[in-house]
Amino acid sequence: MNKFKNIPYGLQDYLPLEYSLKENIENKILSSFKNAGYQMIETPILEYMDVFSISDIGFAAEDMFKLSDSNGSLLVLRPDITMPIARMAATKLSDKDLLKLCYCGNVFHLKGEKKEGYKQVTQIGIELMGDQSASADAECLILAINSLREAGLNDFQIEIGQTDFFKGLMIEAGLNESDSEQIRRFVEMKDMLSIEIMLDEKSVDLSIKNDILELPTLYGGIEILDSAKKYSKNPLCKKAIDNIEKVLSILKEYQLLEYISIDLSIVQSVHYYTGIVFKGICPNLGYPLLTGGRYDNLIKNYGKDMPAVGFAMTSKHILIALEREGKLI
Amino acid sequence: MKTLNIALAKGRLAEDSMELFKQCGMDMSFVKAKSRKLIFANSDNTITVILVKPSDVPTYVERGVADIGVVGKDTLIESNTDLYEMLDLGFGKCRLCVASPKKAVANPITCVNLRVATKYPNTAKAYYQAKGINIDIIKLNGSVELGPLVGLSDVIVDIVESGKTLVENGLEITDEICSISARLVVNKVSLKTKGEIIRPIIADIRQYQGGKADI
Repeated sequence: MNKFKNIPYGLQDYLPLEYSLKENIENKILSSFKNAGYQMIETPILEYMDVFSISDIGFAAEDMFKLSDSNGSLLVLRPDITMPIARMAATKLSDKDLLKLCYCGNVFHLKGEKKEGYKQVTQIGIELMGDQSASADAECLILAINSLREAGLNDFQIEIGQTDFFKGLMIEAGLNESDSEQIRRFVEMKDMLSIEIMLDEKSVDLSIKNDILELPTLYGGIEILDSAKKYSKNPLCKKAIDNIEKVLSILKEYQLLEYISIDLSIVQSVHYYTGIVFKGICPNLGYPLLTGGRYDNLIKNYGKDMPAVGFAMTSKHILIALEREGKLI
Repeated sequence: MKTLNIALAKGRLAEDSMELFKQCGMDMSFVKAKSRKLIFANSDNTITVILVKPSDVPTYVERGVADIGVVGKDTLIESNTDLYEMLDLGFGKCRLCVASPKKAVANPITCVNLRVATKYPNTAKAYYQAKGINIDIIKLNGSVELGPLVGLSDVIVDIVESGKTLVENGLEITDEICSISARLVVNKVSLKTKGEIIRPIIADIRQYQGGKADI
C-alpha cells in the first residue's frame, strides 16, 4: 500500500467542496464581526508554553503539542486563541483602553478536541477588551446570535449562566477551593446524589445545602431568574442575577430574547471565565457549537489589568449542524 | 414530532430498564430484546431504542446519537465521558473492589510495581494514583479472577456482586473502591432541546422510586 495514504490520526484534509463551504461560512461570520467594528488580528500558531501555563487557569501540559525552539525553549501549538490575544493586548496594544478584535485561526489539541476528537480545528471569534459593563456582555451575545444566523442556522439557543452565582453559593456554604471544585464537577454532571453525599460529609448548613441541591435544576426560560432570586441574600449571587437581567433587557430591545435560555448550573470548565458565560446549542448537535464568557482576570497575567468578554465557535461544528439540518448545500 | 433516542446496555440492565420504563407508563412492547435487531422504533416514531454493548452506552449518549441511556456506574467512571448523570435507578447493584489471594504470594524481585489485572484500567490507575502506589496495569476482558491464580497479577480490580466467584477462586476483598448501580444518563444538549420529553420521564421515575421507597 502507498504509505502516503495515511495522515496522522485526528486530522483531516479539506477537499474542494467541503473547503469552499467552510471558507464561505467563515467569511460570512468574519464580515459580520468586521461590520460591527471588530478588527481582525493574527497571532503565531507556535507560542511559548508559558503563555498557556498560567497557574489555575491554564491548559494542562499533557493536552498540548510540544516542540522546542533552536535555543531549547519549550514551544506549543496553541490550544486556544484567547490567551495569545490577551498576551498581545497586554504587551503590544497596551496604550489602548478599548479593543474590539476578531480572529479566525487553527487551534490544536494533543488528545483531540473533546467531542469529535479533532486535533486541529478552525476557531472564529471575537474579544471585547476594556469594558466591564453588562452592555459589553450584551454586545457579545448579539454578535454571537447574529453570526450563527449569518451562517445559516435558525434553530439554535444561547444558554446563559453566571459563574458568580455558583461562587456565591460556595462562599455561603463555607467550602474551600478544592471542595468547591469537586462540587463544580458534580454540578456540571447534574449528579445530585454525589452533591448531597459531599455536602452531608462537610456538614453544610441545611438551607444552603438545599439551595445548592436545587442548582442543577435551575435551567429553562427567563422565568428561572425569578426562582433564582430567592438566593439573592448572598451579595455575589445577587450581583450575578442583576448582571443577567441587565443583559436580557438589552437583548429584549434588539428582539433577540427568543434565542435565549438560562442555565445557572453552567459552570464552565474553562477556568479563566469570571462572570457571564454562555454556549450555543442546537437540536442536531450533541455538544455546544459556540462558547464564550467574561474573563476579567486573564489579561493581568500578561502585564495589564483589563476586563474582557468574548466568544469562539468552531467552523467544523457549524458545518456539521448545517448538514444535519439539511441546509449545507 | 421529536423522537427520543434511548441507548440501553444489552442484557440484564436493558431488561430492568425496560421494566422500569413500563412501570412509569411508557409502552416499551415494541422492543423485542430477544431478536437480533439492534434498533427498534415504536409505531408513531416517538421513541427509538438501540441495544448496545454496556461500555458503549456513554459514547452513544455523549455524542448525541442517543438522548438518554441506562448504564452502570462502573462503566461511567471508566469512560470518563461528558454527560449528565441524573438518576440512580437502584438496580444493577454491586461493588467495585480490590481482591487478592488469601495466601500471600512472595513478590518477584524483578517486579517492583504492583501488578493489577482489571477490565477497568482507567479506574484502577486513578485509584492507585490517589494512593501513591505505582502499578502495572494488565488489561483483561473477562475472568479477571484468573490473574492472581496463574501468576499474571498480584491483585484484581473488578466488580463484585455476591462474592461467590472470588471465594471459589481463593480470593478475598481487600478494599472497596465504591458501590455501583445503574444510572440514567442524559446528553447535555438533549436535556435542553428535548427537555419537554425528557424532564417528565425523569419526574415519573423519581415519583415511582419515591412511591416504592414508601412501601
